[in-house]
Amino acid sequence: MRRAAVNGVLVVLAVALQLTLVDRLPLPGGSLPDIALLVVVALGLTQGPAAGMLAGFFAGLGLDLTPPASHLLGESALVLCLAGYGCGRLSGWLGRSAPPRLLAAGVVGAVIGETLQATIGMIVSDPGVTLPAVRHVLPVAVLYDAVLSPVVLALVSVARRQPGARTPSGAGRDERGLGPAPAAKPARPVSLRLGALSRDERPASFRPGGARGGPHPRAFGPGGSRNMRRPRLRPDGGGAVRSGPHQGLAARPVRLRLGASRARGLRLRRAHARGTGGLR
Amino acid sequence: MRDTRRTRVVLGMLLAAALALMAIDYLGGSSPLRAAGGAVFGTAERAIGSVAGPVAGFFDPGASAAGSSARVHGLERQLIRLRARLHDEQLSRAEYAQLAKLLQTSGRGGYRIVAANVIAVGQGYEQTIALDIGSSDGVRPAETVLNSAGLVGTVTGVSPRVCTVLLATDPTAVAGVRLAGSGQLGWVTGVGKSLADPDLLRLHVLGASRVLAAGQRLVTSASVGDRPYVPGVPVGVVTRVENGAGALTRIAMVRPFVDFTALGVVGVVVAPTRRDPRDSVLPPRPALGTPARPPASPSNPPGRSAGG
Repeated sequence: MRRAAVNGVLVVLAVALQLTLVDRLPLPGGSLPDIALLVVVALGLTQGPAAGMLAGFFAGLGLDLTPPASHLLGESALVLCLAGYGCGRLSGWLGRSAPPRLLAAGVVGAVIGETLQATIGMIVSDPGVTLPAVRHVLPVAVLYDAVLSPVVLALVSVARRQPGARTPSGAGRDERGLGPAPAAKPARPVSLRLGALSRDERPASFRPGGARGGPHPRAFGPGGSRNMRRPRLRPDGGGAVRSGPHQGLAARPVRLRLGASRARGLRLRRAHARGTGGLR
Repeated sequence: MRDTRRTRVVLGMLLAAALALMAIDYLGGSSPLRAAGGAVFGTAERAIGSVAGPVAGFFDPGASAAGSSARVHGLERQLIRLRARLHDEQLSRAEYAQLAKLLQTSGRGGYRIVAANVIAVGQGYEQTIALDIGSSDGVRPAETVLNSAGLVGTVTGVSPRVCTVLLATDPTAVAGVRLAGSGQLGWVTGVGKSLADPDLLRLHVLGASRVLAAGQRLVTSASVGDRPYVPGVPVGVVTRVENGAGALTRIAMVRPFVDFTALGVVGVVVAPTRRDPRDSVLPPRPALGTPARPPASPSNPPGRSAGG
């Protein structure tokens, strides 16, 4: 609830800032950054698809309804909702791992959002959105967005780190469908590193059992079985890491072990105490 | 919050809602929604805009806070506060000057106006602004908006405290104009953002054999019932005549008198003038033709291209 309130405040601030301040700045290039889009992208990337799409829909609705808007009602809502959802999916796919990749994803999200906006404007044949106009506006807008995207991402992460704002990735992660995670869990750092450690196991292991009818398709096969995955957690890693089908993950074992050694030990101990196998 | 089935159901509902809103708006049935949105969001925006407007002009890099002692800190804070107040004073003086000029202009034309401040600017590809006056101040749709330099646009949406203005530079805005002096009739439309310089207007003059020249000035011509444009408001100067061979109208680019990137105090004409002011509102002509003759005009001699 608290996180929803923080998100709501962020969205309102973004829309107000966009219309009353940013759009009046005399920036060169004939185009301006889209703060609302950047905030929605950042929310999607840091909090997942559901938060992203809700923030996007309501930010877009605000932009559609606040007076100087002359485009079709619902246009921005559609664009920003899709952008927020897409960035949430993108973050799940990236595994919320390394900051550089998160930043890159932010830029990609902004580019896609701007392009989507122009495309929808052309589809509904908005007289202001013509091909020459897009050619003039889009590159500069994307440039401004790319410059501002890391700043907005950092601000949104700071807003999220407020006490009480729990990370979504920390909830119910290592429980294997045994119920929700304890609230007092040290959510952020652990979940961040775990994201890097086990990103392609997550669809199988983090979904509460049976909620969507079994594990993710990617978890099938030899690499998906529990017997094969356990050796990966050995301190020396070695060749066992390469046993699964996930070659991309095996390419950087050193960093993973360094990054998550403490958390993993903690998890292992907890898992052993419960009798479940390792990280799963 | 992972991507579960519920998330996707909600996503589908939100997308359907957005599409439904677009469809309703396309069919023209969204006026109550827009009115409610304008009443709620517009009022909030008015409050924020009155604060954010001065901030937009207040970018002073001198205000850093790197003091070590509390005293330096306090002095710095005081400095910032004083600087902000000074800036406010300067701003209000600038607004006062704008308002005085606006009143002179409207007095020359005999328009009765309500002065307003710009509080927000349309986003993305839009060429709209929001003003801090609305129906409670007597503003109605399709009234002319001008500032001290000339034509700004026309009111398209009105809510109790805020109104939306379609700028003359929007591609959907069409204003009937008359060339000062010769009295030829035509119309100007905005070019939107399709040109590198978005603050230009495109002039069409009826009659392909008409002679157009750079430096000619335009005023609005009378509309039916003086809506959406009252007559006599200065529009701009012809800067370049385009070679429109075979077209029914002569086409030229017009540099508006108004600087659309720096709109501050504007006026909404709430009661039109009783007599057409003709060309009397135009500013006195500067030294002959110096600013309004771009180098492009010799290569494209006015009036000599083949027409109709």
